[in-house]
Amino acid sequence: MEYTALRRLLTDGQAELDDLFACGLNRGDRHIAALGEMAAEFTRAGLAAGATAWARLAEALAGARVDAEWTAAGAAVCFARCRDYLRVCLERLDYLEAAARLRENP
Amino acid sequence: MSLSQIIRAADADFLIALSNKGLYNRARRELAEAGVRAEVSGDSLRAEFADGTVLTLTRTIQNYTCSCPSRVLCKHLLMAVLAAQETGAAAEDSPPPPVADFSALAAISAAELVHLAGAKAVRAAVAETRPPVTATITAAAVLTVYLPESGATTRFLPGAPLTAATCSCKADNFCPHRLRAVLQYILAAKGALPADFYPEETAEAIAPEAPAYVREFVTEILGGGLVRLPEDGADRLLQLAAICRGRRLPNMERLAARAAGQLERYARRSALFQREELADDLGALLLLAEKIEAGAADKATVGVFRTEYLPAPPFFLTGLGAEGWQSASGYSGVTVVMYSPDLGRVLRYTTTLKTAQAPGLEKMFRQRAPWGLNIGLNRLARSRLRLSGGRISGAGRLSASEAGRAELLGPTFLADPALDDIVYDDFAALLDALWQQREKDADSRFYALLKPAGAESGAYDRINQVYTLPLRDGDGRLLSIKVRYAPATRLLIDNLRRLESRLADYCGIFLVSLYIEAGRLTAFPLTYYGDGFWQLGLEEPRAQSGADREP
Repeated sequence: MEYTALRRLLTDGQAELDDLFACGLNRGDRHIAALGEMAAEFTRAGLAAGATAWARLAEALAGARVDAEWTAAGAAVCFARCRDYLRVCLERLDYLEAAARLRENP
Repeated sequence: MSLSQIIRAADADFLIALSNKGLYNRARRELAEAGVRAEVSGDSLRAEFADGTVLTLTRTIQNYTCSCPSRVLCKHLLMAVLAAQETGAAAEDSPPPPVADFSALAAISAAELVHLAGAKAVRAAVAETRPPVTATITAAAVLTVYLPESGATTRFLPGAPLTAATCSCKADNFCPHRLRAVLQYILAAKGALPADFYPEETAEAIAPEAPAYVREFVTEILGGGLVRLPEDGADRLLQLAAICRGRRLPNMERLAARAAGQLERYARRSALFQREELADDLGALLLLAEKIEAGAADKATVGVFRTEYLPAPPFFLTGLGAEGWQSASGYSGVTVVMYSPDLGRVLRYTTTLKTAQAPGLEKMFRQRAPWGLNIGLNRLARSRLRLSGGRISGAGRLSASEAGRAELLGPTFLADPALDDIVYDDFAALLDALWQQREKDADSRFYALLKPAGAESGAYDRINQVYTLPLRDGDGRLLSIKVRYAPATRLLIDNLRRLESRLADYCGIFLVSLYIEAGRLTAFPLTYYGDGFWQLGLEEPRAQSGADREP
């Protein structure tokens, strides 16, 4: 996957999490489908760890529909792991992209 | 080690150090007429003198009682030891080897030294102790450690407790010389001080309540979302940051304080509020709290207080340049960037004032330098010096503490091979160095001396208010200097535009801080070295006078 497409995927993931943060995990059930789709996209891009993180977040949010005593604690940790994954990926992507640019003498 | 062996090992040097040369000589002179009868029995010695004086000694030489009226160390002690040596009263055990075994001294723990000298003294001495060994160490029957910086000589008896050591300073307590001598000996024996001497790098027992509070509150914020943030969110996070500081959780404190700042900006609808940063910080706080609660609190997890200044041994500094800045929180400052070849790191000295009270960055740059120097910061930024008694924070900041004293050695000389480690003419190597530092410490800025082979025309983007100056290395690799317009960068941008025409002939050297932006290696310039030093953000072009030229 080329860097531009990868960056787009990661920033899309970030935007999805930003939206979820804005409305709050307690009302996050509207985002479950979108998070599932993101997980599928990560899988297609070969980013297994990202796919797992997003799938777990979707799963944790879905718990609210079936568990009357659901709290945001588990989903909050999943949310934090997704953000951390994105942060690390974007930092490394920055470096790889910069290194590639320097190699190519643009 | 038995008392007999201790007595046999107590040579002239040791006894003189214990008392003084005059008393020692007197004791030797009067020994024959003193009629001493010394007898060693187990861990004690009893010496009876012809004049009726009785001295008893238990376990160590310093642990004695004498019936004479002297209130300080008396000649009877020395005579008793000498008599015991001469009469062979102390020879009932096997004789000590020619070079005694001091391995116990090298095995002393930090906790034992803290018990003797106090935590603060040990921390200060440890900070000053690093290879190579500077003391002159002589191991014979007694271990002698000479400390050249203080001129003190300390002596240790093999197997005797540390309190039995003597020092030429004659202090009764476990003085700083004895402490430094022990550290020097450990350094010589082991090559480095063991890990327990660096408690800030070792995980401490952490009270679990602080991470639990943080986790609960961050979960509450994430659960409610940005639109339902608690009104007192910023205050509560600041309180948590203070609790984290008290519990010595530096990384958690830093993240909580940063998130509190974002919440405060959100509450007052500031344009500086950044939702992504707040979400990242809250996420990082939650993961950190979880990790600490799970007992995975190693040094990397807990972090170190970046603002805590620790003493450092005397070191050399070379001024590289300076930068003026204004923060969003209402402060103005000038930061002088210096490189220490001994420590192999860039260090910064910063002076700060509230923007409302600041006289302007250019004037601040002419304020007096610290450490007793009779020069301004503008000269400090292009001078070489040696700093003694300096203190450095984990983030590489130099303290202006009064204990620091600097000796000015001359102007900065950029061709000095000592600076080679931070001079880059290959942008690929520069990127690798930047990445390596980022892996170690993501929060620190990376400074380098950049030696481009060529420059292209600069451009000012009026829409985004960003000035860009592309530079190329010898292989044609591109790096862009970028400066976003702000009141504090107006002069910097003006000077870069003035500089453009000169760069066509000779690119010189730039002091820059490096970062990666959207997959591009990018630099923020501080200083330009062409035919002289030019602090780009702080000096008008007239500063390019002969006095500023490089030697």
